[in-house]
Amino acid sequence: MYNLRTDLLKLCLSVALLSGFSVSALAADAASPAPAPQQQADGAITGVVLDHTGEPVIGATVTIKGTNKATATGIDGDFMLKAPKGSTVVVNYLGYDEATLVFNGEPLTFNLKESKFQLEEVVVTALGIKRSEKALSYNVQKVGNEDLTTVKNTNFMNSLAGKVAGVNINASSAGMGGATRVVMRGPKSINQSNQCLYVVDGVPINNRNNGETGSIYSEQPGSEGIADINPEDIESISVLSGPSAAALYGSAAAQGVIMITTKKGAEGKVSVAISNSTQFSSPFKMPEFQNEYPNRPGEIRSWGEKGTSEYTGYDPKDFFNTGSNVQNNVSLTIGNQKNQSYISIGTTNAKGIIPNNKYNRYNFTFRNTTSFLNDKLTLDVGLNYINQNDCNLMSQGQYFNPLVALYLFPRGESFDAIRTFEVYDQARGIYVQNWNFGDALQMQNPYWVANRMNRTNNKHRYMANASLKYKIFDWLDVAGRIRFDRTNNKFEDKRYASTINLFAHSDYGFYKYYNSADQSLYGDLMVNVNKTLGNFSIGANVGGSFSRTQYDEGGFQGGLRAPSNIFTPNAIDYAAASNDNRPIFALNKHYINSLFANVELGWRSMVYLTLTGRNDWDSALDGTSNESFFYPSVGVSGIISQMVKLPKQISYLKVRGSWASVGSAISPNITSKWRYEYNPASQSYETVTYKFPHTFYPERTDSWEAGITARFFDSSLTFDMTFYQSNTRKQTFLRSITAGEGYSKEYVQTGNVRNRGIELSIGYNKTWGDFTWNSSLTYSMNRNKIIELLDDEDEVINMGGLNGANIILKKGGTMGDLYTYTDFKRDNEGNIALDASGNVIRETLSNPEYRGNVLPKGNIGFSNDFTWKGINLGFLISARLGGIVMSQTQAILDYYGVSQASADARQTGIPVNTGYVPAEQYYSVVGGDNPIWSEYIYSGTNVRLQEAHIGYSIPRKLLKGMNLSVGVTASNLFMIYCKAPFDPESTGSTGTFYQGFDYFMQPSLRNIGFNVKLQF
Amino acid sequence: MKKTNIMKKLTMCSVMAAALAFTACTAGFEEANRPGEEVSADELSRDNYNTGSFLVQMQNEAFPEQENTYQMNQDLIGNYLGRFMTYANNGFAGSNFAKMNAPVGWVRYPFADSMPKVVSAFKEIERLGGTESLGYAWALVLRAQSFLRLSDMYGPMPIGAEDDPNAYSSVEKIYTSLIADLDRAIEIMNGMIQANGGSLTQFKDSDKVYGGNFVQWLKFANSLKLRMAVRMRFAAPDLAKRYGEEAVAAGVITSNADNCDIDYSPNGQWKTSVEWGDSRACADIESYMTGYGDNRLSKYFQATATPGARAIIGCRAGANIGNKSVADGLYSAANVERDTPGMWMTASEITFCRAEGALAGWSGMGGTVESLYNEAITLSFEQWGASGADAYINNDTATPADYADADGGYGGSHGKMTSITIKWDNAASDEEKLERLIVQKWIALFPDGQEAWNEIRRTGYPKVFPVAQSTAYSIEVPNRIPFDYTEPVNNPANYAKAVALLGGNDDYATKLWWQR
Repeated sequence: MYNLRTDLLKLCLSVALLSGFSVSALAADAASPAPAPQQQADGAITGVVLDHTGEPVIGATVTIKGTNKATATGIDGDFMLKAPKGSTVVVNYLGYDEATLVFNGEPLTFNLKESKFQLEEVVVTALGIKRSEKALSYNVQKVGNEDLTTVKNTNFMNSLAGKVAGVNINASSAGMGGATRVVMRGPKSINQSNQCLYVVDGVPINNRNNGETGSIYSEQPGSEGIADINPEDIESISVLSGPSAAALYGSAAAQGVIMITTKKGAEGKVSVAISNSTQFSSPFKMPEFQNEYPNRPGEIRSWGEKGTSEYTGYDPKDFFNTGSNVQNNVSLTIGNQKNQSYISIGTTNAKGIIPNNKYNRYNFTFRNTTSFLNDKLTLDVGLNYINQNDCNLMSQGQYFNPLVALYLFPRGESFDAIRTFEVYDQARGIYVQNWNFGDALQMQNPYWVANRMNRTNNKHRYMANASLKYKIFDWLDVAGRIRFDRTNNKFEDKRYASTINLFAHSDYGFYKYYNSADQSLYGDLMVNVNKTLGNFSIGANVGGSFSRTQYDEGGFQGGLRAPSNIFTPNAIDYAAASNDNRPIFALNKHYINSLFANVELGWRSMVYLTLTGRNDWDSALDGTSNESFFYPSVGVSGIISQMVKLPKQISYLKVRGSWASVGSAISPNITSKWRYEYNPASQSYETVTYKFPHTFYPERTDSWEAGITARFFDSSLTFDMTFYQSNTRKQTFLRSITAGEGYSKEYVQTGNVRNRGIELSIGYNKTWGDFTWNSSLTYSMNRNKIIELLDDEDEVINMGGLNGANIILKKGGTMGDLYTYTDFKRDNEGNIALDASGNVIRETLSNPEYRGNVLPKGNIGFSNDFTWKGINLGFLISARLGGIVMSQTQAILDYYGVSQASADARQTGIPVNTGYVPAEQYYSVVGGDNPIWSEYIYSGTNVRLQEAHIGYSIPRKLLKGMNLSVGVTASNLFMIYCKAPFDPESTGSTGTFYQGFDYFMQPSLRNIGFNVKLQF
Repeated sequence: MKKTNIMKKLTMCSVMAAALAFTACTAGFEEANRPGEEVSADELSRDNYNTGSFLVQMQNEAFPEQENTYQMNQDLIGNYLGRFMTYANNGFAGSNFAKMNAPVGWVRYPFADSMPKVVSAFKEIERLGGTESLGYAWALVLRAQSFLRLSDMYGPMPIGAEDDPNAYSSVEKIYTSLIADLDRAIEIMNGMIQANGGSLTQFKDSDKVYGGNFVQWLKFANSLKLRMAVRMRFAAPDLAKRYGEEAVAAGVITSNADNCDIDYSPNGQWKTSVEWGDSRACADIESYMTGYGDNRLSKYFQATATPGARAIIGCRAGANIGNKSVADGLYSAANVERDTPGMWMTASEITFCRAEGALAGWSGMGGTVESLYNEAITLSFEQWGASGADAYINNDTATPADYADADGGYGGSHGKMTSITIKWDNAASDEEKLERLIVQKWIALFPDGQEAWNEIRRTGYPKVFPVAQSTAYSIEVPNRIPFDYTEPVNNPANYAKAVALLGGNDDYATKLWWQR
């Protein structure tokens, strides 16, 4: 027993020393064996303080009445004081009523009762450490399970939109199961992902986000790792929007952190919860079409005379199915004082609005918490198995997108005729595609695209985690955690014979498959100290961690040989090597080793100072002299309401400020000497056309934030405001360069991108008898500015976009600045020039013109919940303010004469200068593939009724103690304001760039459904 | 346990852990950071693989056959503007090179895609083998062809002839410095061939054109020099004469056995015309050959899928195609197979060059204008396996046909643009002689559309139909294509100088240095 303890002590102290954290005083103290609690000397009071849920309370003040003896509770809510028997022990903790007990020699257990107005919450912070909210020097926003499960989504992250300040959440237009773009406090990095970091129960998890697309020719996106999580398993979410909140997580945390705390078993009798949520979906916002004017015979574009075709009344909307999303969940908790378990099974079965689009997920979760050795040793084990499969996720672009042909279908032809999307070819003995309208824009029969070009994923994900904590002394414990996460996926892509050759690469069909394994292993070891010395308290965590991620995939793709439509590796035509007939192979790894320390010093529970430091060794910087890099943070918080007497209207007032510097390595593999790529078409290795600098440095984000938290009128009104600024320097750009030197792109490290902004939340919570009103308003605004870009001030970086409309980065600009390369040709007086036939002329500008910024200026979320007896009613209105969006969909609809705008313009033509240009001629220049962009830029501002729900909890007494609640829910119910021809909050890509562009995006969804929840 | 003992152990422990940490913290990093699918320079050097691999890359850029590159660099530009092919894809009908309003992404593609691959491969070959090696000489030839093709599209180009590698050279300077490169390559190859007893076979595995036969590469280098000499003869007559005479004297391609073509499957034109159906025969070449009763016509093109007035029907350049599914049936696809080699240069073309040299008064061309003209036509018939060359050469009545569009077609009919006949006439005016020679050279150049476009711009022949849709220009065939639209942003100072070197607006109309 004693040996075990000293060995653990050695280990943890070694780790502490390694980090450079001075522990000499601590070591000396630790070396004199402290009295073990069970060998309690007479007069030593021990005990534990628990909150109303039975969770330990950290940092509660324990005093002996009539003396100045005081201490604060430790990590497990425990304390020790010396005092004679019969002393009265008083416990004070903000937000709870004062509790007193008389010491009679036995350990004391305080069960605190919530104050009438709860003033303070305990929040989960970095590394899963629970901290008193008042000690925090940065903004943490908490979201409860109800916010995720009331109105359900296949990816629970979409449910957070509008509910937290400082976070931009855009659902992928890929629909059911699609990835989500989550950017906190503005995009910081130009070349690296700006997606936030996800942390589950204190451990960062590998979130492979496959939602990125880059152009109209991109493959369709996939889902993301985080979407695998069953929202019913989530206890709560803490959103740490700033990097200072997360310096302890390392590089990835520079973009902010979503901390997920999952449910665990509770002490008490067996409890079972069964729930069902069923949602039905339809397109939310679609372009406006015309169907009066048919095409002329032999043409696809619909520019014919009215009434010249027998086919009318075509509505592209009829193509869409009613989507559905059915989620069922059963969970069970069981436990006694020593051992608690949580088990859940969840199913998600969703069908998209596009025929044959499916997403299914089955989650199995087990978690067990056990304490041994008189509660000194705690083992927490979690196991997850997830099976997820999907078919034909589709977000935007020309490839694998049925919407292009659907929207542009010639209005004078019979759409019913092509509903029979395949016809039997007697000679070949197979069904072939029924489509006679050419493959411009890669158009094919939309039903063929949906049903005979099938991309499927079948994923098995295994997650296991274990943590072991050993309490050496009341004020010192050591904890180790390990987490293993592996996803095996099989991707298949089957394109049937008579799919156009651009995709089939053969007359007999096409098959692509690969198996991938995505694996991560994380481990850490921490020493945790929590001690009060007089008026001072110290909380320290010192430790080390490692992370190993690996991704590999292998497979093959290619056109098939006869006989048609045999989708096996045997059928591929291996002789025809090309870029499309080739092996699929990738293997990447990333290792990070870290040491870190976190020290929190408190004085009289009113002033706190927090210092953190972390050193990373990152394999992505291998071969440079910067593999090792250090980054610190410092933060201060003060509880003004405890320092001075404030007017009684102010129940609580806290100010806080922090500064953090986060280093992050460059993307893996860049510095590797293995950099010659294989060209499958020529079956040889290609030269490297990227130019490299002499060495690479880690990117660095320096940020500060200052905030104020206040509660008024007995805490019914809450106010939280944060100002922040971050500067991200030494950014790694891969910029396009002119080709003369033999390079197409160059890596450069320079620049300084600044984000500054405000996060504001105001809450109001009041109960009048049976009636409760809960309201919250969040507002965030962010201003992004490129302070410095490249060494040469005039140099710019083009980040691409659509044909002739690109995001261009310039010094003094932002990361969302849109420039266009096309405009009307104008005469010397600035009038629009006309050609010989009287039509407008498109001109390619040698100096692209600035058109606006795709980044929003601000976001507002306004939610209200009303409860009266068992009835609950709520809604959320969200708004995005500012920014522009572009629709090439509209430009192409106009060119093809199928938009309502093109119908309206036919009578008179379009006014140009003093005359009119006929619509067909005008749109043949202004619309289409290479449009005059100024005509297709829209304000991104929009306001919507994002969520609404009404529910009823049937009184317990009617159901013999069971809890039954039913509800009706809706999301994207109603667009209150929007000038764009599509939903500006839907994104074709979850990457940093290619934002605000619509190229035949799948419409976002309006969902209406119901849920039932039974608990007993 | 005593306190000191614990402290001692602790110190030991931490010292050991610290020492371990400094090595362990980066253990395995090199391997971890290695992308499994890529190889290192060291690995590439095994089995002398590297130079050969980069030479393959250069061959693939000298005349790209890979379908996407072929479409972007050859088909949409040279093939359409040389009036050999035109689009049948209604998606191309609004914006394209024939209408002189191509999407900016199309315009920049050849430069942005080809230039880095050519230059980087060349630099690697230079780094690995030095500037005296056979590989270097070969790379010089391949680079010359790539740069020539790019310059003939855009005009001034950054070919590495200036102090700043990203600075553009004038077209004149490009021609002289590429010829200097060819001279250097010819010198190296010649020296090695002589030292080896008159023949030299190397790079057998990586030579997709001549199988490593450098006697043939030498002929090709001389022929390329002759092609350039002819191109510059109106702009710099004396220099052109010197280069042309040097090239012919050193030995150019004279027989179809030495034709320069690359083994690359799938053939690019097969992809774009046959498999994808984006390209169909152009009305111009069809009406010339139909009028002449040219037996090569059915070797060049397939009969239309939808039976029409003629077996083979072309489509007007710049036609307003309404439906690709219909157009593909109305007009003729190229008659090419998946495995047909990609043609870079033929004996026929080079013989036409010699004929034109003779016409310009160059000495040593190896025949009279007439004899070389007839020989060139005969070589072309032989190359295509077409019969009736003699009758063709002696036909002095046939003229190009009036063009009648297919029934339900998209471009409209048009009367013939010229009545030029086939048979050589020494009594004809110089201008008529030039037209006759270039018309036949143009027909024989098929399927190399870019050379065809070069001839139209250089000489004004053949006379071609107007663009079927209205354009913003008064010319019918572009004189060049605009520079990469990202250059004003990525390379602004040099872009400004390039426009100055161009001597006109950066548009489709500004003439290149070598144009008449």
